[in-house]
Amino acid sequence: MAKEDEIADDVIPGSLKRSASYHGDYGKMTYREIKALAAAYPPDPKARQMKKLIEQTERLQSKGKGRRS
Amino acid sequence: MNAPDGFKQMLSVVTRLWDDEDYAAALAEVESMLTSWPGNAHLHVLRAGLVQLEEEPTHELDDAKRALHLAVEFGPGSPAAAIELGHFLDHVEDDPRAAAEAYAAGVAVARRLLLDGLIGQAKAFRQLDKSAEFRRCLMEILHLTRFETGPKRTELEESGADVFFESPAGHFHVVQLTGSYAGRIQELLGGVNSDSPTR
Repeated sequence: MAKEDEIADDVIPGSLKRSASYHGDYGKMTYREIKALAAAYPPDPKARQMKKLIEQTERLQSKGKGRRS
Repeated sequence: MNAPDGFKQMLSVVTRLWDDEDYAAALAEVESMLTSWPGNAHLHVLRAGLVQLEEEPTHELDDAKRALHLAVEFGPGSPAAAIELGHFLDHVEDDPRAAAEAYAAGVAVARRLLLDGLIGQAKAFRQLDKSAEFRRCLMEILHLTRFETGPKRTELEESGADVFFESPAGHFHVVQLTGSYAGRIQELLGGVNSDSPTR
C-alpha cells in the first residue's frame, strides 16, 4: 500500500507515466493530497486518474511479494 | 531437467526478480520463457504487469494490453487474464465501461470454477459425514448460483423444486433450484438423509 506521504512521481514507474491518465502537474503531490482531491465534490478528474495509476502500481508490485518458492 | 521442472525453475527466478523490484530483468526472463512457451497465458499476464512496472520503458503500454488480450485468448478457462485486463482498462486507460466487460468475463469464469470446487467439496464432506461443513458448502453453492447466467433453459427446466434447508447458523432457507446447476445441486441433495435439515 502506498504510504500517504509518498510523492506520486516516486511511486508511478516510468512506463505508466506514459499513460494518458498521468498528469505531470500532479506528480509532486503526495498520495494523501491526490486522494483528497479525488474524493472531493466535484472530484478532480486528474487526481482521480493519478490515484488509479498509483493503485495499479501498488497492486502490480505486490504480486511479487511473498511468492518466492 | 525436464520441461515442467525447467518452467518452474525459471518462474521462480521471475518471482525473485519481481520481489527484488528488478522488473527489467524479470521482463527479460519472461520474454525468454515465452519463446519456449508462447501459448502460456500466465506468462503473458506476467509480461503485461512487468511492462507496466518498468522504470525505463522498453515497450509501449499498448504491448501490455496486447499481452493481456493474448492471455485471455490462450487461457479461456482461467479468470486471471480477464480480471487483469479489467484492472488495466480501468486504472491505466480510465475506461470503466470496457473494464466492466472484462471483469464480468473473468468473474463468470471464476464463479464457475468456484461452484465446481464447492460441489466437489460438498460431495466429499457428505461421504465423510461432516454435515456442518457440507451445509456450509451448500450455502455457498446456493448463493453463487443466484448470480449464474448459464445457457437459457426451458420453462420446464426452470420450474425446479423448492428446497428447505438449515444453514450452519441455524437459519432456515427455502430456495427453488433453477439454472444450469440445478441438476447437480439436486443430485447433491439426493444423498442427504431424510432426518437431515434438507429435504
